[in-house]
Amino acid sequence: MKSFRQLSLFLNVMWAGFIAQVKEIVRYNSYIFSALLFPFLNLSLMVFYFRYSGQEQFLSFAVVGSGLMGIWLAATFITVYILQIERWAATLELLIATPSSLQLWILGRSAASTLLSLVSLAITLMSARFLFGVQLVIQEPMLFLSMVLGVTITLILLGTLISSLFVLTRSAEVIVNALLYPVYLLSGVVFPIVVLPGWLQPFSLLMPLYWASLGLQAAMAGGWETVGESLLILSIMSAIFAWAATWCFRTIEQRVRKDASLALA
Amino acid sequence: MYTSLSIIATSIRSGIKDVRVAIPFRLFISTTLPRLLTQILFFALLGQFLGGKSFLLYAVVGNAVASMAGPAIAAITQDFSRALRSGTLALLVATPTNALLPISAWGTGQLLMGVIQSFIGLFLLAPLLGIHLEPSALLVIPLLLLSALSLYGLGLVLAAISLRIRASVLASNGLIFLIYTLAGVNYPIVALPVLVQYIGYSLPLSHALLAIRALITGNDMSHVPLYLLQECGIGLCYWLAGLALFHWQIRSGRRQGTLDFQF
Repeated sequence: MKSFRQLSLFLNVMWAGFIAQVKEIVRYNSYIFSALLFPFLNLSLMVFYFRYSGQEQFLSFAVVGSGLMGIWLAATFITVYILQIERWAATLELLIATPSSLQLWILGRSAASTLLSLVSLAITLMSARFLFGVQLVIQEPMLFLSMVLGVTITLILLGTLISSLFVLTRSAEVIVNALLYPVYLLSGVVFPIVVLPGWLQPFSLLMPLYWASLGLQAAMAGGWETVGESLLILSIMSAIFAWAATWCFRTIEQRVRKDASLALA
Repeated sequence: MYTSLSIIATSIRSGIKDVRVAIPFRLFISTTLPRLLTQILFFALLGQFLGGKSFLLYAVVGNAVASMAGPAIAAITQDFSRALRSGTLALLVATPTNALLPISAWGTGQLLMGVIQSFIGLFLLAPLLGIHLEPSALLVIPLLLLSALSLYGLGLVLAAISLRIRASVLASNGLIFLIYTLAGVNYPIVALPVLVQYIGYSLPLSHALLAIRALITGNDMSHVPLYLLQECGIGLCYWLAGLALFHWQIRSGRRQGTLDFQF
């Protein structure tokens, strides 16, 4: 009974964070760029580029890659703004002072922003099909949806981990901006990682977007084994992100409470 | 005349100081530069994957030069929006001086930052990727300045519009992406559908990029003066439109007392 009540409290905090984030997203138009405009413009660039080069056989690669780039941009940028906005509104200190878990609140907000970022994948796929006439065949729709679910969960947990680190800095936006293209580059979202220099390729295996791209491509081609492998690795990454986020939140909360240094970050 | 020049000089100095404070050297080295280089590298590798060495060269030049669109358009537009919100713009408009003078020189610091970024992208990354630059490539430096000025004209248009509409981040980022997609940055404009090509050619940077590519490869040099003339013409149109829009916004804002009123 007690654990049921505790679970209900946890879910309440998460739900409150989720609703707060949805309201925030609706209010600020920069989210529209991340979730709607960027994926569309990025897809246009990729389609024109691939068609011009005569490599139309790789167009599905470009489409899925554009969608993933959009998801990553929306998920990371919106998540970064979570703590920035709390800080600007001077509510971060209040949040830390409450007995509720800051991590659950952030998890709820991260879930809302990541789910919104899925809109960018939908926009990319629909624009590719209906506006640019790209023939997209998803041979295993259920596998594709499983991959999307796996990617979503991984990104929610990664977003929570990133947020925890940004409790300590005001430069979150600059840092995420600087990390944007290294992640695209290493993940091989629009070109295979064999194009990268040999010494860089092992780093690609550490990128969730690499496994997401591999899995989604395989789901489109009906490759069960690759999808299974990608899902397994994304699950392991999710578990690591969840553990690391919990550890970081606990450590950082303790530190800023002890030093009274939260507002000095 | 002397007063006008003095106002412009003060605005230039202030713009440069702003950038030095906003982007200190350490931040530039640790975040701006890696972001710039990895973005160029990303499109360079994509180019290599799609079409080999010639596509790689095309992408490196295009993305290095286009990287100045960020400072020239987004930073300027957002600077003006911030100045409006903090009340600085209203104070500037209230002074007896012609506000268009400091406005036209406001973004000098950002423009210099853009030119430095493009220079680094071209002359550091290109040789690292095995691209041999002809001696004529050094002639692109004044062309980088021209491109920055031309982009700044478009930045002024957007900044003036953004005084009324609360969408400076959305509009400026969208416009930068539009330039990357339509202005011949990664592929020639002829790769676009015919109607879209007109938009591409009317964007700043499109003709400057043609001239820069000709100077870098040493081919097709005879067309460079024409490209330069076209870029100057397009840049001038955007400058005039931007200043006219600012003038109109300021005049109607003063008359109706709605300068800081945004939708």
